Amino acid sequence: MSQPFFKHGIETARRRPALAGLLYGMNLIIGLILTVPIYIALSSVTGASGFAANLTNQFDITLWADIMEDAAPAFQALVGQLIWILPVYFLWKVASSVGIIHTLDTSGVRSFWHGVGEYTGKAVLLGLVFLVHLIVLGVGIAIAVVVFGMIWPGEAGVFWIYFVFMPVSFVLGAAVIDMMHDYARMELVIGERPVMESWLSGIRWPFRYGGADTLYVAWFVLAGIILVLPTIIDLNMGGIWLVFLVQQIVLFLRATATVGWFGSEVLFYQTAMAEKEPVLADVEVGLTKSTVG
Amino acid sequence: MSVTRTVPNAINQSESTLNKIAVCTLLSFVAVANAFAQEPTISKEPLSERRVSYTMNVTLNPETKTVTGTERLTWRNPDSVPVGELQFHLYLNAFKNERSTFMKESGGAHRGFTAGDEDPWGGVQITRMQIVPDIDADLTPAIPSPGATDLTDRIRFIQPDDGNQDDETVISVMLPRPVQPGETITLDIDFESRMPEIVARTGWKMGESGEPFFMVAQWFPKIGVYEIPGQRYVPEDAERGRWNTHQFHANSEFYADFGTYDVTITTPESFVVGASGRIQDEVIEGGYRTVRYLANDVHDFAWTASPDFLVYEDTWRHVSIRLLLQPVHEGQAQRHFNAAKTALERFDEWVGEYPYTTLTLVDGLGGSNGMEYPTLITCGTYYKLPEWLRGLELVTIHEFGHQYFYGLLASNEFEEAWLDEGMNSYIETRIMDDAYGVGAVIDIAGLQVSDISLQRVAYTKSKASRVRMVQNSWEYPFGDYGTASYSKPSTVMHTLERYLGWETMRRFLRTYYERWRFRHPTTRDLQDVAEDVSGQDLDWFFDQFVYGTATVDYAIDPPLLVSPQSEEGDEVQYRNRVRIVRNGDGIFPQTLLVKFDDGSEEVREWDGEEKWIEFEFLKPARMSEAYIDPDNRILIDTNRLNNRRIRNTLADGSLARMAQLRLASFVHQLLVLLSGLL
Ligand SMILES: [Zn+2]
Repeated sequence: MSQPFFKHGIETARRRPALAGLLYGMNLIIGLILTVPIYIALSSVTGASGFAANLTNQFDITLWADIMEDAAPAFQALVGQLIWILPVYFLWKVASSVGIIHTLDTSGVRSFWHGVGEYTGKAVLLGLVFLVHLIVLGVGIAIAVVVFGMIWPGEAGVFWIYFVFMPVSFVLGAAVIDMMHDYARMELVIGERPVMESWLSGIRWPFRYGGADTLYVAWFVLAGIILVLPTIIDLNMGGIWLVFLVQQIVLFLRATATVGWFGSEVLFYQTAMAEKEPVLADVEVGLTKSTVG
Repeated sequence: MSVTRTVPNAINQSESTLNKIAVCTLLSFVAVANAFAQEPTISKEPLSERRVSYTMNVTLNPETKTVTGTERLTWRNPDSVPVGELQFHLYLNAFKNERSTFMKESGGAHRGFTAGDEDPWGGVQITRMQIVPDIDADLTPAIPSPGATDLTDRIRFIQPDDGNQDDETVISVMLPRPVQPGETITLDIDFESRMPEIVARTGWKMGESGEPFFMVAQWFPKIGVYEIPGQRYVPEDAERGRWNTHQFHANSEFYADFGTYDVTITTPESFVVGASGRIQDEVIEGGYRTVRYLANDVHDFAWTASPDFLVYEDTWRHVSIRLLLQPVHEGQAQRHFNAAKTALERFDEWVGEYPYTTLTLVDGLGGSNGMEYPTLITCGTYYKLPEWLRGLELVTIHEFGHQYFYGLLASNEFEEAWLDEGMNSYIETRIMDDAYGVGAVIDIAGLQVSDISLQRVAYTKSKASRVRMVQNSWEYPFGDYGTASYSKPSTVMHTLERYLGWETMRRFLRTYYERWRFRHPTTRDLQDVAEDVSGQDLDWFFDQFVYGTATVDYAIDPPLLVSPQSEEGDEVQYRNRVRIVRNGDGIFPQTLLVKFDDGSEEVREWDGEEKWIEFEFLKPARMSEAYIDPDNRILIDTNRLNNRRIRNTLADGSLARMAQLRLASFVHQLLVLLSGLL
């Protein structure tokens, strides 16, 4: 039932490499800029030390302890910058999302940047509302952790509550909020609805359309697997540039997944809106209608 | 009462090497069998001087958290003059109230553990202390009159370390008549020990099942060590010996004389009991379990009791190993046994034979874990502890090592903690790395951390310059005790091993063991053995790094200087200069390895005494690299990174580039994750 939408997403991803490139490029630039001080600090500390070549092949805690002693400020600055960049990145995420939704709107040819310019302000407000959701989720999980901790004290309890329940419930909860947020943004951009109306409509989506849930889960799993790959590559491959190159290919693939994900959801939204009914029945008809516009 | 023993009903267990014994199941009554009546050591003859002997009969009341009973103590005066005073440790009084020296020093916390119960306090009270007049007619001092045999009113608290009048962890008893040289005195002591909620090592804690766990340690009135002239630091020509008793401190452990312990313990029937020594018999009667243990040639006795324990048994050569495991850790028994056997094998090979026939591994709760008692150790693990994190192995090997370093080589832990904790950490790290390789402690996805390097970093990166290894434990500033007693001595001894060579070091360990087992060695004694075995004067080493605070840091002073000097025919001669500087106040002989572009190498030795030295090489090739301590032998060098230098024009940014690119990819992943939340 969600398959045609998923396929449409894959097709969208294939057809819009420039969008993926934009998302990928921004993350790459931020990553490289933030880590330049690390490069400078480490090359001054290890460049002429004679140990650099050994350390690229094997971890040595003794030498790294010496390195960290000398290069600690650079690493501390990295953490500081990551925190500082949060609000800026929030703006970028909001802007790029509305831009993508706008440009993937199947009802006509629309510009990414036009979407950014027109909807970013309202989408920021919407984003702040969903940030409140996230905070509520965090507080709710914290309360649940405390309650479960009282019901199930002891070591096994600590393990399951802190290492299983807490991360899993956060990821699942955040995924539900993210899905609500996606559809609320579509209400805002495609449906041209006000912020609060978009929010109210968005939070109902996971409960109204089973097909939307299935679609979200499919993309969530695929995108999740792709996102873990760079870490697996990092831990299992030697060398410098080749690893980076392979990682970048995977990360670009991850950006295309984001585009495809939006593509699927936009089509699902428009189909649902067009039919004003749950889109579980005549998907093919809806799909044809939507794509034809 | 007829003497019987009970054999717990054995249940087959899937782990074929283990016998898991069901607890609280059918118990059959069988006549005394010789299986339990084995000797607690490998010798029928005394292995130690046995200045003390304890016979105790005690009962645990889980409701009141008390252990009550009697103790018959025999003590022999080892001095050549009469001794009119006895001193005892009442360690448990450290937990009596917040005014004790332990509580004041620790703030009520030990290794991160605190008590949470409404009434966490403990303590030991002597209700009667009496001389036994006729225990041995030949040796017991003549007692003037029956009234004079009661010593209860003669007990007074003393505070030899800090004068804290509220501390009641040491008592002095003046005798009505001195004990003559070589004579023994026998005392009957009635006492009640109220176990505290566990903060440090001893006490009770409620298990997950709601049943209590008891670690009964430092629990009975225990006579101190009377040091005679010539023993440890008492001058040979002193007129008389002296008591060496210290209060219970936050940073210190224990000190006692070797002897025998014959201890009968009664608990409710449902409790599983484990103790120092070898079980002699066990009786179940009227809802109570009574177990008798014999421990010979040891200097302490501890036991544990809980209805929750899963019991596993295994053997290693002459040693019966018994594991008491928390149910939540079921499935980790084999890891415990493997670690214990790993330690037994290597101690036997490197230090000396384990002379006892039992070893009990206890998986305790909270602050009771990670502690050693004769033939009984508390280990410690976590639910679902992954195989790549060898915390369980580390703590088991470490605590087993204490059977030697303090158990057999019974140094004074109050005054020279490094002799037990430090020497033990040295062997522990050696065993861990020998058994499990470069990823001995952590081994996951290319991140490998060995135990030796972990201790090295703990020393070199933690205010190393301020710490002396030989110092009263309780006098260390907060935090320095750990460096001084664990990581520094481990790193110092590994450096000594690399300086002397492993074969010499191994002979030193074996000789130290043979010469000092069942006695009380000091740092001086240890150094004497090292010097005897190596044939070297090691004052320079011990004075700087054991008694002193010297730190070692030699560095290549950048850059390497290379200049064309002369031309002989077609060949250009280069003047290559490298300067080594001594950054620390510690002096250690150095080896310099210099490599040249043509592949040739030069090695120079330097005594390391000057503040700096310059070596010059006139060669037809340019110097590419200078490297001091190239074999990584001087582990106490606080910065290894500056030991090596390549010519600036050969600078290699590969590590920096790799770190940057991988971090950039990691940041990229973080941003993608973050975008899912925004
Ligand atoms: Zn220890």
